[in-house]
Amino acid sequence: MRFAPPRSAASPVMWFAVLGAPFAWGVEFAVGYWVTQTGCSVPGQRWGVNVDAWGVVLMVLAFVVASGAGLTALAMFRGTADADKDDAPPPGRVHFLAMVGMTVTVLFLFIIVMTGLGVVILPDCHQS
Amino acid sequence: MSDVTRSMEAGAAGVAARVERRRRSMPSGWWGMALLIATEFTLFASLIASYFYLRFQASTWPPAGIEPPSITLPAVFTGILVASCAPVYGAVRMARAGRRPAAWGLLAVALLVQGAYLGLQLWLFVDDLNTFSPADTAYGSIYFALLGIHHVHVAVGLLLDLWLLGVLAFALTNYRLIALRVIAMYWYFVASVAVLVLLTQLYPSL
Amino acid sequence: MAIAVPREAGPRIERLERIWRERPGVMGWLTTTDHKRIAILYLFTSLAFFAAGGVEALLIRTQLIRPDNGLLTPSGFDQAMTMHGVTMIFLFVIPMSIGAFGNYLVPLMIGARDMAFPRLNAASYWIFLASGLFIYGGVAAGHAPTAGWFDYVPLASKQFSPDSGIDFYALGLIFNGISSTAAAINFIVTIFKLRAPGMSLNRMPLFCYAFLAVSFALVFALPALTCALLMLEADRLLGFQFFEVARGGDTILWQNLFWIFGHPEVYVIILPAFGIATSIIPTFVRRRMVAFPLVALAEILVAFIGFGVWAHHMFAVGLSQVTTIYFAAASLIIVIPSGIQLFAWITTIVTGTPRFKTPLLWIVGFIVLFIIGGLSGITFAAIPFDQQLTDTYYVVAHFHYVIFGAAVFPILGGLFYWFPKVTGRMYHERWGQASFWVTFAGMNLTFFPMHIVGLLGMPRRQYTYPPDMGWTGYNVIESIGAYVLAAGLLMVAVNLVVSCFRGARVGNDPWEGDTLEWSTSSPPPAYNYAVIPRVTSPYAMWDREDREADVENLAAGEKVLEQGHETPAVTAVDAEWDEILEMPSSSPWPPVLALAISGVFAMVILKQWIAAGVFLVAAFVVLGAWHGKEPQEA
Repeated sequence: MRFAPPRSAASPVMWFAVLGAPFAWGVEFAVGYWVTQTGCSVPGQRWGVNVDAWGVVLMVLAFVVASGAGLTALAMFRGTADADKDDAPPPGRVHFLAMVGMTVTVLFLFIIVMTGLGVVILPDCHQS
Repeated sequence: MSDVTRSMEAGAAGVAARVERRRRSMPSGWWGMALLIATEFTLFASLIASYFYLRFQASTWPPAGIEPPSITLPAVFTGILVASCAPVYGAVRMARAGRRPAAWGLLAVALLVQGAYLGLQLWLFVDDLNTFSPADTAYGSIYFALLGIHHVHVAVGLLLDLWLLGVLAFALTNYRLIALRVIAMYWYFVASVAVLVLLTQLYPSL
Repeated sequence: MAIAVPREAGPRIERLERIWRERPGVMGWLTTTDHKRIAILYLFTSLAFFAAGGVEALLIRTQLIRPDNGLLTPSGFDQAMTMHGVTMIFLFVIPMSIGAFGNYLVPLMIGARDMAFPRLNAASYWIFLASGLFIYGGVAAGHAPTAGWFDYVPLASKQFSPDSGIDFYALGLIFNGISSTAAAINFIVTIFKLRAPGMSLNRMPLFCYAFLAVSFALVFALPALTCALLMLEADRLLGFQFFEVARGGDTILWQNLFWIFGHPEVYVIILPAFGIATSIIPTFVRRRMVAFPLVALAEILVAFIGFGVWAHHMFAVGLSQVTTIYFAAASLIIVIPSGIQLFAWITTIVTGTPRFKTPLLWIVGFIVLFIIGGLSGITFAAIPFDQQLTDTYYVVAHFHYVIFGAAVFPILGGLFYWFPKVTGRMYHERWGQASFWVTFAGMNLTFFPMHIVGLLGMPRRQYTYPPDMGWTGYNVIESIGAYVLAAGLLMVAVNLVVSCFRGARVGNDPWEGDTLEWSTSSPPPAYNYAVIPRVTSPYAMWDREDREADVENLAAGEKVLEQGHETPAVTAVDAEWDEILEMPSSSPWPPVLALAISGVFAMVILKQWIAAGVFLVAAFVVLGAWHGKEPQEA
C-alpha cells in the first residue's frame, strides 16, 4: 500500500504514523502501572482487580495501535520513495517523518510486548 | 519578502486584528503559554497521582474521624469558574474583531466572576481547615495541598486579568492581543484543572 | 567558506550595527538580552560552580584515600557528597550545556538573530545565579544539606535532619527549577518559530534536535521534582504528613516523584552532549552524519522513553515484580536509541576522513567512555543484578562514566571547537591534545577501579571504610586519579585563558564547519547575520549555492531586516515565513525580577511569611512593568 504524501504540516495521518506507537506505549504504561498499584493494594484486592487480564488487554490494544502507526509510516515511506530527506516540504518532510515512524514503531512494539509478557509471566503482587 | 507582516507595528485595535488574521501559525507567545500550561498541568498530574497513590496505601479513605467531603457547594462553585470562561472567550472574539472597549468590558465581567469564585472557595477552604487539619493525616495534607495550589493558580490568573485590564484600557496592540489570547488560554486551563481537582477532591463521596 | 560582504550592503550593515549595538560597561551586561552575552555569563558562572564541585570531589577523594581517615567528619563528608552532587548537576552541567552552549549556538544554528523571548532568557540566567548563591549562602552560614542529592525521606524529614540545610536544598532547587523551566520553554519556542525560512524540520541541525529533546524533557520532568520538594517543605515547615507512614503517608512517594524527575534529568544532562558530538564529528571527518533521521529520532526517543524508566532506581525498595517489569522492559529498550547514535557516530568517523584535532579527540574519548558507562548501565536493567549492586561503588562508576565521560567530555570538546568562533582566536593545539590525554587518563584512573571495588562490596556514600576489606589499594588509585583529572582540567583552563589573549587570530570558519554559525564573523556581530540565510539542508555551510544566494540577497537588500531589532518568524513544522518580529534590546527587569524572587525564598527560609508575601507581590509588579514595555519599545 502506498499513498501520496500529505500536504499539510498538521496532517493527522502523518503525525499518527510518527506518534501512534509512542502514544500506545504511553497509555499501556500509564494505565498498566496504575493497575499494578491498585491491584496489589488492600482496597484493590477487595475490588478484585485482575492484574494479568489488564496486562494482556493493554498489551494487545497497544500492539494493534502501534502496528497501525507503523504500517501507515511504511505506506508514507513508499509513497515518497523518490523524495530525499533533505527535500523541501511536503515530500522531504514526509519522507523524513516516515523513516522516523517506522523505526519508532519497531522499538515500541518490543517494549509493549516485553512488558505485557512480563506482567503475565511474573507472579502478581509478589515483592521483587 | 516585502509582503511579510511586520507584526509589532500594529499599534491599534484594527491593525492588530488584521495582523492576527494574516498570521498562518500560532505566535511565539501562544507557544510559550502552551508550554507553561504543560508544566503546570504536569504539576497537577503529580499531585493528583500522589492523591491516588496515597489512597491505595490506605484501607479506609478518608481515614477514621474525617467525613467524606460534601458534593454540592464545591460542584456549584466549580461550575461558576467554568462559566466564567464564556466572557473570557467573548473578550477574545471582540478583540480579534478589533473591538477594544467590548473586549475590555467582557474581561472585567470575567474578572468579577473569577474573583467571586476564589472568594467562595477560600471560604470553603477555611471552613474545611476548621474541621480537619493537614498536619494530622496524609489525607488532610494532600487534600489541602491540591486545593491550595489550585487556588494559587486562580489568584495568579486574577493578577493577569488586572494587568490586562490595565493595558487594554489604553490601546490594543499586536502584543496585547496575543497577551489576551494566551491569558484566555490560561483560564481555560485553570477551569479544566478545577474540574479535575473537584473530581479528585470528591472522589471519596462519589 | 565565509560570505563576502558586497559593497552595496555597507549602509545596511551600518544600520544593523547601530540598531543592535549593546549598551557599554557593566550596565550593558546587567541589562543585556543578547543571547550570546547571556551565554557568556552562564559560561563563567557555571565554571565557577564546576570549580566548587571539583573541590568538593577532591575533599571526598582525599578523605577516602586511606581507611579510617579523619580529614572529614561523617557530617562533613555528607555535606561534601551532597553539595558535590547538587552543584555538579544543577549548578554546572545543566547551566553549562543549556545556558552556555545552547544559548550561544541555537539561534546561530537556526539562522536567527536572538531567542524567542530575550528578556526571559536574561531572567533565566539571573534566577540561576541567584539560586546558586542561595544554596551556597546556606552552606556558608553553616547549613549545608547532608542527605545526598536525591535527599530521601525519612532521612530528610524534620525529625532526622532538623538543620535547615535540607530547606536550603529544597527551596534552592525549586528556585533553580524556575530558571531551567523558563530556559526550556524559550528553546522550544525558538526552535519551532525562529528558524530561518526554508529550514523545515528535516533540514534542522542535529544539535537543535538534541536541544528540542532536552527542553521537552525539562518541561515535563521539573514539575514532578517541584511537587516532591513542595511536599517535603510542607512536611518540614508546616507539619504536613505526606511522608509519615504512621499518619497514612509513604516514604516511597518521595522516591517515585524524585525519580520521575531524576531519570529524565540524567538524559537532560547527556543530550546536549550528544548534540555537541553530532556537530563536531561531521566537521572533523568531512562527511555528513550517517543515518541522519535515525540520529535525530534517537535523540528525541531517549528523552521520551526516559520518562518510563524511573523505578529502575528503586529496584531494591520492595516494589512488586509486576510493577518493576514495566521499568525493566523500557530500561532495556532505551539502550537502542543510544546504540543507534553510537553506531552512526562511529560509522561516520570510520567512513570519513578524520582530522584528529583536539575537539575530535574529546569526542572519541567520549565515545569510548560512553560505551563503558552504557554497558554498566545495561547491567542494572537486570533486576537481580541491580539488587546485588545497588548502593555500591559500581553505581558510582557507572554514572561518573556517563556523566563525566559522556556529558563533560563533549562539553570540553565543544569549548575547544567553538573557542575560535566565540573569541576570534585559536587555542594552542598541542597543549589541547596533551590536556585531553591527561584528563582521559585521570578519568579512567579515578572511576574504573570503582567498578571493581563496587563488585567487591564497597558501599557508596560512606565517609570511611575499614582497612581489612581489600578496598584500600583501589581507593588509593582512585584518589590519585582524581588529582590527575584535576590537573588535566587545569591544563584545559590555562590553555583557553591564555589563548584568549595570545591565541592566533582566526576568520569566520577555521574548521570548514557544517552549520550556520561558521558563516558569520568570529566573534559574531550582535545581530548574528547581516542577511537571514537561505537553507536547504542540515549542513548549511556545505551548500555553496545557498551561501552564494546569501551574498546576492545582501547586495539586493533582501532578508536583511534592518528596519528595527528584527528577526523572522516561521511556521513550526515547514518553516514558511509567517511574520517579522521585533526583539527587545535591553531591559533592567530580568535582574530585578531575580532579586524579588530571591527575596521570596530568603524570607521563606527565615520563616518570615508576611515579608515573603510582600516580595511575591513585588515580583508580580515587576512582571507587570516588564510586560508593559513591548519588545519594540524596549
